[in-house]
Amino acid sequence: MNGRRWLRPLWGSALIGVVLVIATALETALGSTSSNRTFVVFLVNVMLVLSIQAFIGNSGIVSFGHVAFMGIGAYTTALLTIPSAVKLAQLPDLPSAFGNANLGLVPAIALSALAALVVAAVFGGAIIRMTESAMAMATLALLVIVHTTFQNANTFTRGSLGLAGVPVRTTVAVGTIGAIAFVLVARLYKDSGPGLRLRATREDPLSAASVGTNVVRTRYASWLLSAAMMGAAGSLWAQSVIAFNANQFYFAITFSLLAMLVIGGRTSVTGAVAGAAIITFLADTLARVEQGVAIGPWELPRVTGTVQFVTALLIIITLILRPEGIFDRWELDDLLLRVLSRRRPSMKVEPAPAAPAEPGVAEVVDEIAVLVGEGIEKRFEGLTALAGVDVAVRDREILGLIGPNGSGKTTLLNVVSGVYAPTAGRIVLHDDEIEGGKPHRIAHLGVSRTFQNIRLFSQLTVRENVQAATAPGIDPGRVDDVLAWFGLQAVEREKAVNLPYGNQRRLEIARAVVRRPSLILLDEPAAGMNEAESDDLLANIRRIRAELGCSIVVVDHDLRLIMKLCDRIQVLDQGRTIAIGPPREIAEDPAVIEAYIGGAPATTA
Amino acid sequence: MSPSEFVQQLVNALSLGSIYALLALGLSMVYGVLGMLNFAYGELVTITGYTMLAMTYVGAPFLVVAIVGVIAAGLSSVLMELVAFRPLRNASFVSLLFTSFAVAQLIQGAFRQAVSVRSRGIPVPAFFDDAVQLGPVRISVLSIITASIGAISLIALTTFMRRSRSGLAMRAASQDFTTARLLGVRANRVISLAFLLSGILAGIAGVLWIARTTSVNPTTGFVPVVQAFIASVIGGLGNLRGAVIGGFFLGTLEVFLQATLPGSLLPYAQGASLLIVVAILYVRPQGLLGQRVQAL
Amino acid sequence: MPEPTADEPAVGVGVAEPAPLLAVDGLTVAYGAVTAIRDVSLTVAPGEIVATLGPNGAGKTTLLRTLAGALKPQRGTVTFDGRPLAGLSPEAVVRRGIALVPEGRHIFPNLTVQENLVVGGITRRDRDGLREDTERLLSRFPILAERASQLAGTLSGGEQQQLAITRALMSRPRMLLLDEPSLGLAPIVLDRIFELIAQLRAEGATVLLVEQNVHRALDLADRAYVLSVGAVVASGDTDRLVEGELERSYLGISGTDRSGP
Repeated sequence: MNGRRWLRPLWGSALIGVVLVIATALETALGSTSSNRTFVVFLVNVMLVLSIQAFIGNSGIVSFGHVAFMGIGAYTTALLTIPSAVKLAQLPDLPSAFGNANLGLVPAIALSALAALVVAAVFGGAIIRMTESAMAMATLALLVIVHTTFQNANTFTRGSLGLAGVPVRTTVAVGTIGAIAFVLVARLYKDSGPGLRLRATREDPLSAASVGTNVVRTRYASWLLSAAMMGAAGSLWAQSVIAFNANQFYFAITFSLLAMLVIGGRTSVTGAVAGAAIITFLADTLARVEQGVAIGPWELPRVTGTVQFVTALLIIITLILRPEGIFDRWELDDLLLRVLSRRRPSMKVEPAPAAPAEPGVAEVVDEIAVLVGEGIEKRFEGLTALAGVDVAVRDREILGLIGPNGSGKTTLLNVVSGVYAPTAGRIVLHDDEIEGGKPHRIAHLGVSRTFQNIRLFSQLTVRENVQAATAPGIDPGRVDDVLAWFGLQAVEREKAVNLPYGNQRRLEIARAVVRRPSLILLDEPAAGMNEAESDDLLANIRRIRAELGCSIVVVDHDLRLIMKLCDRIQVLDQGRTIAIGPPREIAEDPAVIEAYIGGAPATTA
Repeated sequence: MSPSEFVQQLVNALSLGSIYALLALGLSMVYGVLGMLNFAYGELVTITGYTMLAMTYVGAPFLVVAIVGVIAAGLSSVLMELVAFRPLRNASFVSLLFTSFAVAQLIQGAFRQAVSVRSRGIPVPAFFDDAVQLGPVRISVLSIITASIGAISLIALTTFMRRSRSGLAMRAASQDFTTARLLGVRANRVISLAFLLSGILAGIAGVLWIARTTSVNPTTGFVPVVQAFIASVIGGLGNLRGAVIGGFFLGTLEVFLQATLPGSLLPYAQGASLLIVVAILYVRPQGLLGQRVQAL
Repeated sequence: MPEPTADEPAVGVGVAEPAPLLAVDGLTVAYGAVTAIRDVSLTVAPGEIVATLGPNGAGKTTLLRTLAGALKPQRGTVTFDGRPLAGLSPEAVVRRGIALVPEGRHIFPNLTVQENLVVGGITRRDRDGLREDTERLLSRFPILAERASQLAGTLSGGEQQQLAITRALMSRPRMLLLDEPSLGLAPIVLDRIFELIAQLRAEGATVLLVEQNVHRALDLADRAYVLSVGAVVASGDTDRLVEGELERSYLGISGTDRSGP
């Protein structure tokens, strides 16, 4: 692993850690017993919200069920740490394995995390293939199911009466260490390979799959991690509150935790910590108001429900004014760097290296076929997009795929790259049959592609876009090389969405080449480009073929570009191939001209 | 289970199922048009309950109480959209979900403060408790009323959606909002209509629910709505027919689990029915009637 | 309109050119990072059929969608019947008398043919007029009449296209915007469609048409504009635009020669 990559999350976490340590020091020196308690609540909240964020923030999928894992962690710890005598007094029917257990802090945390992990593994396996909205609802079901179980499994939980006597081990010191540890894990995960790929799926699942990410598996891993974290956090929570009951692991606390995330920063670790601080402080202050407080000469009456009310208002205001949360996507280290750096990276793109002179000298195209498709059909409801197309892409060949609108070009690309399964036909890549395969599998086999409407990971940086497309274990310098090759290093820290159009197109292609594919599918790479830009593109595509020795299929409407660039051109019309051959032949083929311009009307006016 | 018991439970299932179906339908309707899951939907049931409470104090007969309750739900729903969701019209799915969650808490908090945390009783006509004897089968009057009203409401709504121009506009908008607008369908009107109708559905479901529980508290709406959410997902989100089927399915599941589970497992009936639902979704992630989404 | 003879001077109002129904001036539209159309100007006179030609990616669909209100322009003005149109919502544009038949048809798949038509006429209040129109339009396309109670999603591509056009006509628009009506249609069906459009013109409608099929478009339209990479590169009466020129600008065989013959 590239050591350099871990630097940023490490010192980023350290920054937050420093802030926490300072806060702890201040609290220890100046705080009272009650403010100590509040501070511990804050620290535990940090751990809880970071656990939830590990899943929600990175995957973009809402989970209402994480408090279930908190409860599982809490009960596991309670059952394993409450002194035996006290335990058996509350739970006389408890199995002796639990009854005799008196675990220390760390083993309790570990087992709590494990318990949560097991439940998450089973439940997650069931829901992880659902659509995002359905998954959100399923996590709701999880919350209800686990809550009901807690309320009724009296042998273990004493339901609404709850358990008491959990030893107090989550001191300010333990809490601070725990919080910093969670921050570290959260940041390291976020910037790791799997974390980055998950964030890519949050931006554009299809695009992520097409660059090799197994979307389901990535989401599942994140679900498991966050559940384990939540279990551990629940354990620490239990060891701070001493007593709790089943009613607590339900909507009130879910709301509170989600509020921290929404208000502080949905995807930013710093934001989550800030959110925890805000809500903890708010709850503490308002709790006093709720008791009925005297402000000057006025005595405020007892007001119940203020905390929820104000929290809810804050959520709505935040969502209207700053939808991603106060910290948006900024981490503390991002802000620091922004403040420190005097000059912004220049948006002017370095011109791509000049294309080596290749006037009309055709690259030697081997007759070996890289991709062979036979009889490819694709029918949608009421529409036949491909009516039996054969295609053969030779080694090192640049094949142009053209045809009027609706002729099936993009559909063919989609079928080859796995976005659609063909209704009929065979597609063989090297020696593997790939028809009907999932996009990420086909990407692993050596196919990469770009999309007609650019599908970059908009909120990720240029560097991250390319990084997310790499396979684990790829040579770490590769990303740098690719960025340099496309002249994108100067803007590597810019968010993809802020790039000018030409650079976005380049970035998409950069992302497609980083894995050294053997076949690249380019879907309208020249869309919206003027002559100079498309000449540039042409040179780049030729260079890619020269450097990688790969084959390239280009779909485009810029026929000037296609004629100049391609070794062979295949023309589709209404889902069938109507011509195939070198550019000269195609340009003069009357059938092609007819297809494009359209035949004369059957009846003349 | 004896045949007569079976029939009784079946009627119970239809009764509970129709409440869930009404709620699931309301949820799916808004999802279909706006693409949002309205977490605050349950609060409309709570609003119905408290309106009924207020009307009871005024001394109104039950029918009036019920009708005013339904109207209150409908209007509150439209108001909710106007005030809380319209400013966020173009926000992401997740943002809208969080907003609706917050709105739900706001309303709950408001009731907690304005009325009481405790449950308040709502008197219902005595004959609701009666039972009708049909041969060996004893069926509660309330079940019959609930199932009937549920069925009538569903039929009325279906007719409206099928026959009226507004209903048609709404159906068109939920299939292709942009094209509908390009034909002149007014976006805001269609959305308000969807909220009005779903509010009315929540109101009717609310009345029927209150008739069963005879009390209201700030979290009243929550229980049936969680079920409704799950039901709409079983049916396939956004699919109206699926929502209705999902509602009846879940109601039936719950009733029969409650009837057949041994005493010690009885409290788990709701949890068990949810587990079964999750199992179904595992096999068919798109729901019973949903469109199969290309798996990635 | 009588043409002025050689010894009659062209005088006054009677033989003045009609004011354009639609006037687009300096329109620039971008979405995302792409500037799809740059500084496009065109006019459509009442009763005309104007075609917008050009290869894909030229901005033709963007133009129509902007006119229909689905996109907002960055710069430029659009005047319809003397009143500004740019920036209006789609619902308002329809009520001004413009109807769009979108590219790709976009019929409502889970509504019946009949219901699709009703939605098309949703802006109208006159029930008798609506009924008349529905009957008349359905009689023009007997296939649609046959399938009136069928779900629109089960229709073939050609039938859907007929439905989409018929649906747009239900609002009795003064100007019809057609985005690639020929897409995916067999020649016989195309004949009927283009006949219909010509007939509409005879009945006084005004049509702005985006087409890839150059032959048919030139045959049908009075005037045409050629777009390329978002800008107008040629325009004129269709009997004067040279087909060979157009072919070349499409296929780019002789490079982009922007100076006309």
